[in-house]
Amino acid sequence: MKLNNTYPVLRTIRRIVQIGVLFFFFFLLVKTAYPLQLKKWVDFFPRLSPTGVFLTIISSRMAISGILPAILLLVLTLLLGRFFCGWLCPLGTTIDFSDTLLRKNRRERKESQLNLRALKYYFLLFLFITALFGLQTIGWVDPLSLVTRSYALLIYPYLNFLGAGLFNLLYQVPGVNALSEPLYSFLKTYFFTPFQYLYQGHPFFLLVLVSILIMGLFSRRWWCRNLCPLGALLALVSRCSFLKRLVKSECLDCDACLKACKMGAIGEDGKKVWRGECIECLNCAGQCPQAEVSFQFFPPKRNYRSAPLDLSRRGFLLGTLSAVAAFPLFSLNYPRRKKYPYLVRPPGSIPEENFTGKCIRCGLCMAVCPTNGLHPGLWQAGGDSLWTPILVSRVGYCEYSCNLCTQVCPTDAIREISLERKKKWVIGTAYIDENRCIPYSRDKNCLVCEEVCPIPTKAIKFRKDKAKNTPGKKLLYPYVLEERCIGCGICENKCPVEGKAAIIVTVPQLSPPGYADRIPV
Amino acid sequence: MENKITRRTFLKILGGGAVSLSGLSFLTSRGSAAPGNKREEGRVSHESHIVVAEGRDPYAMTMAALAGLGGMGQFVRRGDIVVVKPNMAFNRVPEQAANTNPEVVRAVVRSCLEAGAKVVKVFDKTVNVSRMTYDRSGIAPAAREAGARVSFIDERKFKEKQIAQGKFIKSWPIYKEALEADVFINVPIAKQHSLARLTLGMKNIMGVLGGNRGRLHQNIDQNLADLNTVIPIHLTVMDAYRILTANGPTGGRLEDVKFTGQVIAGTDRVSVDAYSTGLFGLKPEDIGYIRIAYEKGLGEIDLAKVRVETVRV
Repeated sequence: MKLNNTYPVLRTIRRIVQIGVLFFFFFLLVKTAYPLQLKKWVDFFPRLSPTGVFLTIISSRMAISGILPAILLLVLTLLLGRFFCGWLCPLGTTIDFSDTLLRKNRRERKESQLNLRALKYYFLLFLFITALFGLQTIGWVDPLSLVTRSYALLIYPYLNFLGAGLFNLLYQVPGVNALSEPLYSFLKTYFFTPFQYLYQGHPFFLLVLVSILIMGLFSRRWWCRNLCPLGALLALVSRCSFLKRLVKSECLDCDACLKACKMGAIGEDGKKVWRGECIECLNCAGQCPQAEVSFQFFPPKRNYRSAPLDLSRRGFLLGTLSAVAAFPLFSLNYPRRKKYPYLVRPPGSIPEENFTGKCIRCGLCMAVCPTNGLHPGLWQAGGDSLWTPILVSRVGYCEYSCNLCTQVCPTDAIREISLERKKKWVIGTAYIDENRCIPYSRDKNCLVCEEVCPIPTKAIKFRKDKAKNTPGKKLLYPYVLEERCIGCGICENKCPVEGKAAIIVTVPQLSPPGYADRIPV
Repeated sequence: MENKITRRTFLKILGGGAVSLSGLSFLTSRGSAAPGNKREEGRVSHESHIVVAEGRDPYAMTMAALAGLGGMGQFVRRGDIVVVKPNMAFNRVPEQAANTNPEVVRAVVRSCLEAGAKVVKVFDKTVNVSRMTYDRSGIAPAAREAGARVSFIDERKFKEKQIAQGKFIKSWPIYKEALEADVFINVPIAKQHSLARLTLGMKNIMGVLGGNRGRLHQNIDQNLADLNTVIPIHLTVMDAYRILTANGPTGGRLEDVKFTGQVIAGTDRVSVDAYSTGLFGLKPEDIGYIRIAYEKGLGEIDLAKVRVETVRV
């Protein structure tokens, strides 16, 4: 009877921990903004993933500072099993929520009919081999990178949008706005972003997240069971963990535990456990009417049984071959990246040759950018730069006295650089399009680009000259001093020409190696 | 019998009421027709008078300049809502002289509150990232310490304002809180600007404008003067403690910053700007918007006609 009381309580504690961790995770994302007081913490979750960290080290052939959290997670998994998936993972908790919502519509199939569990191991193999080839694939699918990206670039901006819409509506109502506006200004200070952030291609993120959650129609934790690469790695490690599920011999075969298990980890007799599948959510122990199920360290061997891992040679071959095939596919790069001129990387980025291998695509640099200027790249620069950060100056420029994006990168694809160094870091060069520029094309003064240029000696200068088509009129014509320009893009951002700006930042095609390290005069 | 209202008395009352009502509405309409200025009368003397405080302590200089004008009580009455509009456009530190000196703002805010203002609002539409700019300029912390309500620009609060005298622009979105304040105090800094030559008080109102502000550059002098006809400025406190002489309005190089040690206060926006041109070795007529504003009757450009009082702190 004692056990019967312990496990339901532990289960409740597990739920509280899950929700608490999800809140902490989201709190860190909200705090991923100026003034970045929690600088040491904001990249904690992407850093925690051993698959993310180690496969990135393999694909980039470069070290990552601070791999301790990832190692710690592996060690703890070795001791305790796959508790991370059941207790801590923010994506797992999100899936638990959506699974609860979908429970009425779920058509759960018999375990034997649809056994895709092995798929995640082949997928991990695929990711490992592509990493060996130097292709960063883990960033797209690593759960901690994926969940960071989904919450930071999708859910948080959407929440902002809903909140702003609601408060703008209340703002119109006299009387009500006296109550709603103080609350709104409080939320704007502590929760909402200063203005509506949105990211290029955000419906794509929505599609990915919804695809993962919708699988709850087939089974609970479908992603965690069948695809999650981190789950696969932790499953492999947890095979030798010391904490084991134990079923006493008095079991009545009532199958209550079978129904309670989110992961389909319990064999049909209710006693076996598929190795590596249990995420220690304690549902089975909590639901057992006889309190026959328990979790114990070092149980006597005869008392527990685990089902073998049934991996096939065919599956391995498939994983390997598809990885070999994927490598050239993703490297197929129609604009030939070296010649793609709009690939403006954040300051502090490592050289482009290594950048796509190192960037884990978690989106933290984009979330922290105070101008909403950093966006996830699409296919513009080839498949392998998908979701890596690109500065879109027309949307948001790179603030001269800001190095926030260099402080949050979990894999050091953007190295931390001092503000002084950042102010000299060349990310591109501005060019004036005289066909669009107002003094050149419309015989009027403008000079906004020169006004806002933050370089202390101005990278944009001007000369006084006769207007082209208006006799007797003198105008100020701007021009760029290439050797002073750092490519921050504020000129492109503030250019008052409608539509495409008359001054555009590009990365020069004939840039010598190490262009980014060029110190302007 | 005596209490019975005859047709004649009734008509008399009706007629009298109609006349007095229309008279009242005529008077109030005249009152509001003066460019947005609710309490112009009794506040602005017809003689242009500016006070120049010189010294090394911007806070004390500002206080002295205000005292020279007769104290903040001349402008701010008990219960007033006051807007103090500094130049807080760029993410720069005070030493770079790209934004108004925070000590000048602190002094203005404090003296408003001492004069009995109900609330003092401080805001600016920044060019750089607003949160960073508010902090790095030192203005937001200083104003908050002095008791001001510092807020970020709320895009919903821009109101399209007709510009009757506008030559190129007939209307422009202007920040409601600036227009609706009882007292609007402009606290600019004197800086070099390539297109307008100088950024002074009348250019500082760019910070309460919405819309595509860059478009105004196409006829900047005319547009600034036109916009100034619809924005009430009850008092200008010019920060010329440090001025930016080159590479403005952003600056960044300390070599371009010149110590001039002055704070200039006055109610006549044109004469304060006109006086400030001298700090750069220019004449008031050199600055297009000052010239046009004078021609529009916004103030006095001829410094010989302005009573300039200098106090040393």
